[in-house]
Amino acid sequence: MTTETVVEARQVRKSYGGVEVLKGIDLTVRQGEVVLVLGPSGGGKSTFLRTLNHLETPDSGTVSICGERIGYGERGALRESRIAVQRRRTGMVFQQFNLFPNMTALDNVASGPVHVNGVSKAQARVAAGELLAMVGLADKTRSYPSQLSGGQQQRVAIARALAMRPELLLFDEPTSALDPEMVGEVLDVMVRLREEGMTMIVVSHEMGFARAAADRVVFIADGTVVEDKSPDLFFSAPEHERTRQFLDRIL
Amino acid sequence: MWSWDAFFSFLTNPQLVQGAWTTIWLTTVSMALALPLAVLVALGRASRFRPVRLVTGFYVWLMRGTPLLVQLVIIYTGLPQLGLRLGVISAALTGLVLNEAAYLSEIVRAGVLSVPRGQSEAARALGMPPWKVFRVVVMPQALRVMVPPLGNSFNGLLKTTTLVSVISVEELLRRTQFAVQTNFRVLEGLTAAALYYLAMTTLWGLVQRWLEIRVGRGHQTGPSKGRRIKSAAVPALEMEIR
Ligand SMILES: Nc1ncnc2c1ncn2[C@@H]1O[C@H](COP(=O)(O)OP(=O)(O)OP(=O)(O)O)[C@@H](O)[C@H]1O
Ligand SMILES: [Mg+2]
Repeated sequence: MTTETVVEARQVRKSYGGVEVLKGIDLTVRQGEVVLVLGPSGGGKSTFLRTLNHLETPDSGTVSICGERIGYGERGALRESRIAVQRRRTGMVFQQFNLFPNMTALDNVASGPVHVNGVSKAQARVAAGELLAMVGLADKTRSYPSQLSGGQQQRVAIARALAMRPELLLFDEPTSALDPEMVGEVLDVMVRLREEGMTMIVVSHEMGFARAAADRVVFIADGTVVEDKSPDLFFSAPEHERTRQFLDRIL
Repeated sequence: MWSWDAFFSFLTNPQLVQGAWTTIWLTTVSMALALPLAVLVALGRASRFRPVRLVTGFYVWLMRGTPLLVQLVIIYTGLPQLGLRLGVISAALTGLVLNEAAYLSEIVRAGVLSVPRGQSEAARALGMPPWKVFRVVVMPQALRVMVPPLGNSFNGLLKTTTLVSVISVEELLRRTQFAVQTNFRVLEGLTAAALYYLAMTTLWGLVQRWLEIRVGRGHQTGPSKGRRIKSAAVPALEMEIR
């Protein structure tokens, strides 16, 4: 049995105003894999993650999700409305949650199916209720984001991404904006998703999560992949000086 | 000498009631037509295409840089010279709508810009196409910020419509002036008209409050209960001066 490749990024490059932020990044992620991305601030982790669903357009290089090249069709660059269709396969969870403040938790979760897939509101709400129950928020369906704690908001955001039944979930520092006592409840949900076989790329500095749930650790610094290993090897036997310096500082 | 009799007879004068009605519908129709135009202009000013940005920018510059009174006279009295003859009401509506849309477009623009980038990114990440991102996520949140200054604009427009009396639209002011000519009770007549305006703006104030509560959904909590909309992020929007 061969496992399917979900993410295939080749030589992804990106510059801002003449400064090269991504200097040719390669990454392959197979179905069911959980990849933790680590690296110093400003190293390009967020930028790279955002190229994977074309929120950021690479200057060169290719990104394919489930074998489909993102942002380009047979006749060159795709329009935003076509890229939107490609994004349905990928869910994204942000550091600042980015829930829609004018919708209840339930409608936040239902928003993708209703406004992207054209599912009826009633039907989408039923499914949304089940997802909220799954992340432990069955009693918060009618709350607005402003009435929820950070940890609760982030779990709603995960449920919102899941409602689109994505093949891949991207997390950009999902617990960095949370009070320490709420980090666990969000990581628990992510660990559960891993057990259910969800493919995930997680930018995070939660070492506990790295050891418990990651299949691979990718270390990105200065716009390149410096190291790409299993968590055991990464923490016990990093090859590069750059990695050792970084680990000394955060561990 | 002030005459209460004259005053009350102005207050109940069907001419003034008619005029007030004209004022209300002129304001409402102008606003209803100006708002969609303003959204288009605001989108145009943020367009990727330079010519579109230039044309819409020129339009706003022109409308805000010249008096409405001059615009109205040009439209009604000047354009026939070029063979374009508009009726009184069409001319008044054209002037009011074109002028108001320029101001409203600034409100729309500021409202759209007030929505954090993360909101549209979250919507795009879900797979929403651009117009859904705008309609489902950006616009409702922009509206919350826009309703107070839009309400102020409506209030202002109720009074600005007095200008169209100059091109002989029979709105409240012009009707009052006619009525005054029968007995020359200027003070009583215009005081009655002022009361009519006051009643209309006060009533509008209540409608505006209700609208603000409606679009404020999801923002009700926190210590600033009840005052949440006032100047939250919009000091710049509140100083829309003409
Ligand atoms: N839109 C942008 N315009 C200009 N520069 C940008 C933009 N986005 C990112 N950068 C720059 O690119 C570099 C990489 O940023 P990025 O956010 O990807 O780093 P990061 O690894 O996610 O850092 P952090 O750990 O602080 O989140 C930084 O120097 C940043 O200033
Ligand atoms: Mg980052």
